[in-house]
Amino acid sequence: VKRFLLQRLSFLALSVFGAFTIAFLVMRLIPGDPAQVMLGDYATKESIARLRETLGLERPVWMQYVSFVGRALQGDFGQSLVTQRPAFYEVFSVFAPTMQLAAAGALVSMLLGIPAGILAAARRNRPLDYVTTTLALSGMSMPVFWLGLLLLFLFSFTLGWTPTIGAGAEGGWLSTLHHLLLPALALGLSLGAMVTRMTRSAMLEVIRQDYIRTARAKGVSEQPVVWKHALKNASIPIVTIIGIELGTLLGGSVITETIFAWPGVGRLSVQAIFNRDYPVVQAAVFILASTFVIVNFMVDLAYTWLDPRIRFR
Amino acid sequence: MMRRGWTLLLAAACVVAVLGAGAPALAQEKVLRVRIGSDMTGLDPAKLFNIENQTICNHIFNGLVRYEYEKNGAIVPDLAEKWDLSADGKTYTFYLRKGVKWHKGYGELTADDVKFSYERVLDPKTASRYKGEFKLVDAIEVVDPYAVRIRLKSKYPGFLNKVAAYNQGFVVSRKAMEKLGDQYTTSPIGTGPFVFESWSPKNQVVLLANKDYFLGAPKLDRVVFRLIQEETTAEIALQRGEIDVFYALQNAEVIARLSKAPGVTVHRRTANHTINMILNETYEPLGKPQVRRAIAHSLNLKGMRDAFFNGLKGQPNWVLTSSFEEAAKDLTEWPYDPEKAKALLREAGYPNGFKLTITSFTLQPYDKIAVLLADDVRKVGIDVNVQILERAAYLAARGAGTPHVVLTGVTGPADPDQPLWNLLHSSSFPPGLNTARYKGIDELLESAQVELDRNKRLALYRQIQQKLREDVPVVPLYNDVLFAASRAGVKNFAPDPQFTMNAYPVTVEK
Repeated sequence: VKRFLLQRLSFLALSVFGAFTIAFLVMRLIPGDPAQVMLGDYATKESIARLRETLGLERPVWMQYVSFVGRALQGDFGQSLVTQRPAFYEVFSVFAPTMQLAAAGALVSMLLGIPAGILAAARRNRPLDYVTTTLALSGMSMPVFWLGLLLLFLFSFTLGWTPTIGAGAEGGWLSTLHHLLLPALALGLSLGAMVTRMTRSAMLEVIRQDYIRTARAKGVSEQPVVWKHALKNASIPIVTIIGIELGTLLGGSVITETIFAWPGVGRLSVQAIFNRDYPVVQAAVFILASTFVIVNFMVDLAYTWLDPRIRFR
Repeated sequence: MMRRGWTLLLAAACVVAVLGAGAPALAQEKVLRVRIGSDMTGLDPAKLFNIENQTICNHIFNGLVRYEYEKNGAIVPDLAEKWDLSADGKTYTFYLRKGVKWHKGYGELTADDVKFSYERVLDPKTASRYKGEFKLVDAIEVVDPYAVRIRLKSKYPGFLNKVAAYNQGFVVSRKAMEKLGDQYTTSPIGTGPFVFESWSPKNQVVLLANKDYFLGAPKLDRVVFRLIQEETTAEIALQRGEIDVFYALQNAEVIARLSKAPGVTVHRRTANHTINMILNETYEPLGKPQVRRAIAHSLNLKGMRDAFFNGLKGQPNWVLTSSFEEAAKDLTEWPYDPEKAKALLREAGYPNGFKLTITSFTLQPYDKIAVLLADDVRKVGIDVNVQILERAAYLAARGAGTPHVVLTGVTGPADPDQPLWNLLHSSSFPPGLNTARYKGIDELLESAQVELDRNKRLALYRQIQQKLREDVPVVPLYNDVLFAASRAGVKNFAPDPQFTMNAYPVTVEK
């Protein structure tokens, strides 16, 4: 087990390092000069050159890379070119709302997707199955921005149950939860649809296995067979998809963040890319990649719990 | 067991939803919550750009003078109580109010701060984008702590516009700037009615009332600028009372719905800028005046304004909008006439058209209208390609001066020099906005700039607009109009033609 963990951990470090090396290179290869962006239309060649020098952009790319890695290892990603505040702080300050939203979205998707998938599998080729799969299919094909606006219109505008905008800046955890409801629903519905389909197919696979037939033959009633024996063995693909999607939720919920005016890393990094704000992009990539890798590491750990054979492979 | 777990969780979620649904307790303090459409980026007046940054700075800083937008927009005293102009029209002396306090204990405003602020704009090290605004400034002298003298290289009747409360005209604190350095841009120290409190990126900017403000403490306790990009979201938030002011409203459908919504007032104000199509003369076909005229005739601009903008934008004049005294309102746009356009192209020697690229950037509506314009131009036989770049690449292209056609407006006060000089004087490229590379009105602009006689000035600006209509270095597309909405209970709110707003006179009632 120790070897397994060590192996996973070294992969982890390697992935993060790889991710931000790529981010570093890509940011420098795309057209557009941060000095020009910062100074705008009226900038003279001299002022651009001066700023490039201040920013260290005049040095060869490999030198920039070496000094960047050196500083990054000490946790220093430099100052945001736009706001002059530490890049790490800039990203970190919106990281908590991002995590809240991603976790809530994943939770909603599990709450909806797993039971729905199990029900569909248990009633295979019966009306309930058709209804569930059709709903899941439409859930997956519904664009998030459309769904988000629809939810806003219904729950916030017409019914007045939920707030329209953003993280509850003031107020306690209850207000935060309240603000979280709609964006989590918007995010969770499409992922939930995916989880439903995944659960359904995994369950169908497992239900056909011999040990399920044995359990039934022993006279175990249907409920424990489905919810205990079958579900645990069907969980690996479900956990995998949730793990991967959680990563996507962390950085990729730009549209949901925009519609619900939710501060988040997604929007911050897109803006930083437009502004050629290298330090912020790098800090964001570092934080997101690390979280993604940690989530995947946890998924790996979950595998060993779900399927003890993996530990000894 | 498992199922019971799910049920419990669901029940818990429902309870939370119901409990949370009660309106949050509202504090007694008077807060104005304003929607902004993009985030604050930096508040250093020397580098200020974007209407959001400018709007926030409006509350924090003062100029020597300001535009009285709550009345007719005339120039009135701000930090300077009064000023006088020497007989030769070249030396201004400004007399400052006494006892004006900098925010957060940075002491009293003195003439030295004014000298520092404006010299800082001129200093190449600052890399200010407004250095050109002070191109006629020769020297700035401190007469005494409450008087500052600005000598100009030549007489310039429009000079007060340059020291008005806007961009480079804002006065910063020397002590704070020297202490805070680069941090000043995100923790600005000013003399205005509100004090900068905090900024949480991608979320909100908070300003607190300055109880010591020299014109009296504001009637609000705080102003919160809340970032909401999506206009539909802001629309619902306004109607639910989660925000008080919906600033920089653009979407025609949202404007139409809010205009009918109960308890909402939609404010409409003509801006000081026209959105123009800039035709680059250094691209060979565009070097011929007939070709530029042909393009002007090929565009169905009224159709675009009526259909695409739902009639919410105004018919333009030649660069100066109707809010300028100098605007020649009878000089209308060239009529939509594709046949005439084709004839002009034949006359210019391009009977089969030529290749043309319209370059624009990823911002509503500039990405969309580029496509509409291209469609029109294509119909007269010009082979048009549309190139939509994101901001960084767009700036790089424009800095190089290579695009054939770009779309631009110059926002600012109703000072004719502002749009005309920046867009069309040959000194405005490179660097700058004159990517038309036009030289036709240089002398007229220079004479108008120093002409003290009002009638002569008006005549010169009329001549300039006439010449623009003949030469067509730019095709004005529409006169921009600023929309904002406020909910009932918000009083004395009005957007101004610089595309900014000011919460100082505003009051709120629940």
